[in-house]
Amino acid sequence: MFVDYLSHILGAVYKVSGDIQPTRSFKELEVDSLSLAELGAQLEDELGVTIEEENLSANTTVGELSELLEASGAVLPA
Amino acid sequence: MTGHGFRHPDVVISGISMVTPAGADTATAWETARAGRPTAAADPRLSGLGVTFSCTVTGFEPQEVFGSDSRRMDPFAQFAVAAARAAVADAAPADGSWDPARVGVVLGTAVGGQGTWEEQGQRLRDKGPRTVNPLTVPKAIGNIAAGSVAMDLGLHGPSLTLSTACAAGTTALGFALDLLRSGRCDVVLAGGTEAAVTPLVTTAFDRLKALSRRCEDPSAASRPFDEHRDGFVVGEGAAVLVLERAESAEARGRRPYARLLGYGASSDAHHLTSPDPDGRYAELALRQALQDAGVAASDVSLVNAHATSTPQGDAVEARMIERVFGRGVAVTSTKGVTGHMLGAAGAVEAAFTALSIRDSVIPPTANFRAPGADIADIDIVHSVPRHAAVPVAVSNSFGFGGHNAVVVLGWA
Repeated sequence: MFVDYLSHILGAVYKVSGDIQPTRSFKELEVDSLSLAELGAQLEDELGVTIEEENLSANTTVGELSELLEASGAVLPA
Repeated sequence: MTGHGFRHPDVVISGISMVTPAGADTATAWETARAGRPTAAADPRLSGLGVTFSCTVTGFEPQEVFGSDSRRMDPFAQFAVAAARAAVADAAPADGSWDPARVGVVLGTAVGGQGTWEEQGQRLRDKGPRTVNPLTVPKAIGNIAAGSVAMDLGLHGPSLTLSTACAAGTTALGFALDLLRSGRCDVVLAGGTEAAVTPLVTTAFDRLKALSRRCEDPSAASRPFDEHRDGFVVGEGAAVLVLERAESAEARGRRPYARLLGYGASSDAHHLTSPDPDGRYAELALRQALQDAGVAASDVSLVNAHATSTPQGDAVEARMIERVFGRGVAVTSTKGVTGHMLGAAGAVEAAFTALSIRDSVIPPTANFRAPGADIADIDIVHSVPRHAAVPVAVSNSFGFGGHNAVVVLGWA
């Protein structure tokens, strides 16, 4: 549910190029730790959820983060 | 002129860029300065405060310049990087002719990424620690403008930020001059940057009674040396000057704006905010700068004064100028146009001084009508630009804490 939304942010804000597959981890997508911290804060801000540090690491995949957002009751911004 | 260049390699200004309230590019800023058009105006960021106006940079869109990276940069870094890019383009080095390890960056700032600190402090208080941006520290720390310039342009020489309050832009030029004279660098991007038109900084200056309170008529508020001056107007922006040894500019046929002939610096050791009442150490810095430049006071034809439009500061500086030069020198303060850009002021004023030298024109002191009774008998350029050859000129900067810094520029 959040994969497209995450793909959009990763491309537009964090300059991840190419196809952003849900199976790929942030490490594979070359999102560095600073960007990851920023992404976590951005998602908390935009979606009104809390993301624990251990749930968002370099090894987390886009799909896993999407599921996490869904499980925490996040609603896509209009 | 008495033998400048005998002791040191000649250092020239081969590129200039300004992002200022007078214009977001050099040509516009210079045109506004020459016309003596004040830029102070009501500022929505300050609505409801004691002082509700400022000198604001307009026509600069960070999103257009930096894209999504703009979110990672405080405005004080955005101004600096934009100015640095344009200054290098202006200096027009041949591809690959600069060794990046020999190019330094020296910037001055008085307060650094203040808007970011205030915004994130507000979030912490209102919404709690989880809402604080993880990038707050690298966005806001005072050195990051210089670091960002180095990163943006791929420069690997020394990059640093100097903080001498409102003298910082001039201090940066002096330090850069030393880096070039000592041979440590081949090129230095030197200047100053400031984005401190924030609710807290403006209010704090106002609480100190440093600011003009002419809220009903902001464009008349910044009026250096004038009898009705009542404080300064906070301004924002940046200027970056490309400094290099004369022969390297010559080698690629780049005609420089001016030579950076000398630098002097001193400390009042007197008071947190007030200048030494006699300006003795401002005079010392000026005399040192003239000596460093190898020129006599009688060689100087223009002083771009620090004069911020405060009652006390302008009077002390005018007396000091009269002691050193008498009426033999034209005096202008471009702060009537730009307001007081704090740590960027010295760099902007050195840039205007270099343009005066190149174009043989001295911008008028905006809003000056008649000198205050406490202003010494000096030749203040006002009302209209003065067309005159400017072989040697001085730019003064003084900062809270008693920092005095003076640069001497001359014909290239």
